[in-house]
Formats: sequence, C-alpha cells, structure tokens
Amino acid sequence: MTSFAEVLRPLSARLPLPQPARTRVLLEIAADLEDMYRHYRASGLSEEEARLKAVEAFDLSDEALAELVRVHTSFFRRLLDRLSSQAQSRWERGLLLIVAGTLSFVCVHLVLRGEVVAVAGTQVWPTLICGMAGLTLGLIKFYQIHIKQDHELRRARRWLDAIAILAGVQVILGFLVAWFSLYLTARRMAEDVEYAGVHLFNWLVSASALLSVSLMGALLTAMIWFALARRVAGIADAEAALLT
Amino acid sequence: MDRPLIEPQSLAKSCNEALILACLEEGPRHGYQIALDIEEKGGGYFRFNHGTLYPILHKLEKEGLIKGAWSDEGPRGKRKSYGLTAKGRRYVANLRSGWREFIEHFLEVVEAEE
Repeated sequence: MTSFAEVLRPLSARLPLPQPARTRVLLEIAADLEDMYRHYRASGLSEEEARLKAVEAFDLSDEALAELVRVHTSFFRRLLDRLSSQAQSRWERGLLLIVAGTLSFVCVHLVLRGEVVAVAGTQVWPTLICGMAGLTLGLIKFYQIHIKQDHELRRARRWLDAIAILAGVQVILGFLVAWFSLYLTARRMAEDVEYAGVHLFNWLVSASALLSVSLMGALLTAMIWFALARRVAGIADAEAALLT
Repeated sequence: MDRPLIEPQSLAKSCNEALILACLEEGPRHGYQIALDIEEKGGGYFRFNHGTLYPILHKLEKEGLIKGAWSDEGPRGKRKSYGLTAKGRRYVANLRSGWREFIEHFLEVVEAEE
C-alpha cells in the first residue's frame, strides 16, 4: 500500500483524465513522492517532517492540474467538449438537433421495415420501446465513457444498471405479451372452432416473431451493458490498485 | 524548428522547459531528481514546486523532445524516468544559443550606457 494514499485520493478526484492516463500520472507522482520522502529522511528529517515536506513539494496547483489535463486532452476530445459546451451558438445546437433527429428517424424507419417486426405486429411495440431506450442509453454511456472519456466513477456508473434492467424487461415483456396473445387466440379458437387451426397458426407465427425480436433486442442490450460494465470495472480496478 | 525556442509572453514556462531539457542532457532522470538537480545547480534562483514539473514533462514528452520509460525497481516499485530524444538533443542545442541571444538583448536593454 502506498503511504501517500490520502494525498493521492483527493488528487485523483481533481484530475479529470481518462484511464489509463490518470493512473499513470498518479503512479508517477506516488513514486516521486516516496523518493522525495526518502531524500528528506536521508537528509536527517524525522518521518513526519520528511512526509510533510514531500507532500508540500508535490502540491499540484489548480493551474498545474489544468495544464496537465490540457496536455492529455486529445484534439478529438477538445472538439467534443466544444460540441457539448454551454458556449455553443444557436445554429450549432440546431444543426446537432437536426443530425440527431435524422439519425433517429432513419433507425426507427429501418427497424419498422424489418419483416420480423412487421409479422409480430403492434404487440411488439412495448418491447421495441424498451429496446430503443436501452440502445439509446447504451449509446449515451458509450459516448460518455469511450469518446468523451469522462472516467469519474460515480458518473460512469450512473444509469449503467438501467441498461441491464431494460434487457431483462424486454425478455419479460416478450413472454408476457406472447402469453396474453395466446389467451386471446384461445378465446378466438373457442368462438370460431372451424378456423381454430388457422388462429393457432397465426398466433404461432406472430408470437415467434415477437419472441425473436424480444430476445435479439435483449441480447444486444445485454451485450452493450456487459461491454460498458467491463470498462467501468476496469476503471475502478485501476484506481483501487493505486489507492488501496 | 516547428517550436518557438523562447516565448517572451510566458517566460517562466520557457525558462522551466529549458532548465528541464538542459538537466536531462546529462542523462535520464526521475521527476523528483530533475527538480532537485535544478534546485541544487540553480543557486537558489530556480526553486519551483515539484508539482509544476509534471505538466511540463508530459508536454515535452508529447512533443517528442523527451521520452519517459517505466522501470521496475524491485522493492521501490515502478518508477518513470525521462531522457532526451534525438529531436530533444537538437532542440537543446538551438535552445542554448536562443537563450544566449535573448539574454544578450535583454542586457542591452536594461544595462545603463556608460
């Protein structure tokens, strides 16, 4: 365990760098702090005095921290910061809105044109809405963690589990709706015995399409959650390894 | 040379960079060693907070003037040391003459005519 953890922990919180850059910077400072401490000890200072002097010597001012962050911020990240900053002009915001709206429209249009979705009918809508919500949340988290590289743990973890929950909800909804439509089909079969076979066949086709959409959507959402959760766990591990 | 040798608007920064590069010309060093060496040789004029070292070191590393290397030093753990690159050596040679010229001009301005 590093003997300067109580100094490094608040420093880590003040250093908005993506991993692994943050851990590398902190490791470097931790190593130099320890060397500095040894240097002061060798020069005859007591343990406490040496420790205090080392910490004092390595105090990173806000200005130095900002400069460090600037050095490690890529051109792409700076561009994204500009895009998501409050300082955007009205036309920039409008343009972003138009691009996002067009992309969403094209995605929804493509999904609805799919044969399986068409066969499943309107009963697939609750599942589709959950799937879209999961994907949207996944994309937002992907942007935050991988592109914007905001690796502050509390923010990185926020809403992450909601993606897994949405994956589960898609499966449950798929089975529930299929079960309910079986009940409706059974009633129709009882009322219309002559075409009972046709009703049963139609149910089989629509229910299997519905379940296919539900399971595929859930699988995709779960995979996105898994990839994001692994990345967040990696960030947490990197920090824990350094600070505990 | 695509990088200005001395930036008069941020003289302190240019000065710190020059001190670090000159110190590394003698051989690779850890961050804290660089700070101690400069303080020792500077006769008390160049005492700077060690915390300000990192932004400068990382900037110089990003520009390819110095190169950081991690080494496992047994019980002391991992340590990062910095050394000059070939580009850095060329830059330091120019830097020295740049500073000499700058100081000559500075003295010309501030020294009273006899």
